[in-house]
Amino acid sequence: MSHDLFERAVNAYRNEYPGSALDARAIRRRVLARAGMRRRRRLALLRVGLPVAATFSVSVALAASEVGFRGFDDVRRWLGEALEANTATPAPARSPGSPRASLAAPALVPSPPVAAAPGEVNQVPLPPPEPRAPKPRSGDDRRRERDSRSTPGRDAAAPLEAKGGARDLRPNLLSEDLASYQRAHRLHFHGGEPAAALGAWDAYLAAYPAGTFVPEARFNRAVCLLRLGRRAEAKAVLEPIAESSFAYGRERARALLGAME
Amino acid sequence: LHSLALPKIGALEEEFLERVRSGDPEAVATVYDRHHQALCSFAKRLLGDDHAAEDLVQDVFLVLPSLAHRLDPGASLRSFLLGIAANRARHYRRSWRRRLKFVERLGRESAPPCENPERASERKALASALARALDAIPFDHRVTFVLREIEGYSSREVALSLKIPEATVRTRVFHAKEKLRALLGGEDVR
Repeated sequence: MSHDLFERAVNAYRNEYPGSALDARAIRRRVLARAGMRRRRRLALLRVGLPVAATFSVSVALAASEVGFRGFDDVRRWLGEALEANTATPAPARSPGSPRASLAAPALVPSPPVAAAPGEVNQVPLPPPEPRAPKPRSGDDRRRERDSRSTPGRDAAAPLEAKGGARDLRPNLLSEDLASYQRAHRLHFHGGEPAAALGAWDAYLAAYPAGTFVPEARFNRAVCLLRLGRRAEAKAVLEPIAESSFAYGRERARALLGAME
Repeated sequence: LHSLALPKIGALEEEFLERVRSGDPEAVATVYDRHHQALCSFAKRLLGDDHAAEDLVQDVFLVLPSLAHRLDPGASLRSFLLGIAANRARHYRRSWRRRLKFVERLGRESAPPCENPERASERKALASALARALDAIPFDHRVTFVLREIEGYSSREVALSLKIPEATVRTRVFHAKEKLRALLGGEDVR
């Protein structure tokens, strides 16, 4: 094929296939409509997706950070529900006729944070958490209880301190009657000697008449009396508990009284 | 022959490019108004079929925002668009079959009454023969030939569009011409 003929073919092709044959306006309309739609879709996705992603990230960060838990502890402490935690009190053995041992949160009334010596954290085990009826206490009781504690460095700003400070405060949030209560608790559930346990409960109640664990001590004392066969005394202790509208061991006290009759 | 004029390669403002990347319809419209003729012409001459060519042009401008991150400020936007079109035209091979039918129909159509019937007939026959020949050569040769010889872009711009060396452009054009001449020589185009 000659060069001239090839050039003519190229020219003919160029003329027969002009770009102007396409409907440029229609294409423009379609392109812009689709582009606008995509942009709106992307913006909508951003409006929804960003808050969701941000919420998720913040949640994960808070959950992962120690600070988040510290803050939670502070709030709980302020609410008076502190120290229901993780100490290793042995699980009480169940026995027919004897109530399941339980150790309640020690302080339902918000108690001010108290500075404590480091190292006490591991020495004083905390009772396992169990719901407990709040014990109505008079203002005098509270005052007496507060006076019985050594409370150096008590101030309102202390709970807002860092986590390390909050951990140091933990043992001091436990009332001092805890050690006495634990001794009685051990004798009651693990000692196998009701008389010794009864003595320990009596000692606790005598030492801390407005103590944190008075309701539990009273109920357990009644159980010890029952074990020792002193039914009348046990009944005298159990009846007020069973008749109370909201007291620790009320249902079990009623059950025991029912069984006694 | 506006298509033979060397196209101007304008530098893009980064801000404008950012708007294109974000899919701003106004920015896309600006790009379309500036470059749609080049794209329409190339698409039509590469594919032959009007519908396929329109789809290709539309496709190019729709994917532009998502591909614009590859475009540097100061680069040729037209070359970039032509490169997108050349790549995406591979997906429009099916339309070439329609194009063959179109070419055959074109050959049967009578020339406009104001034109010399003989010349018009000869032109149509030549165009049809070249279209068939273009269908017979490899796609890369075909794209390079259409851009360089039919659209009239420089070897440099074709190289920029297809992201190949200029020497490769020249080699492809040379081989395309050889094959097309051989194919056209075997046809009775007159």
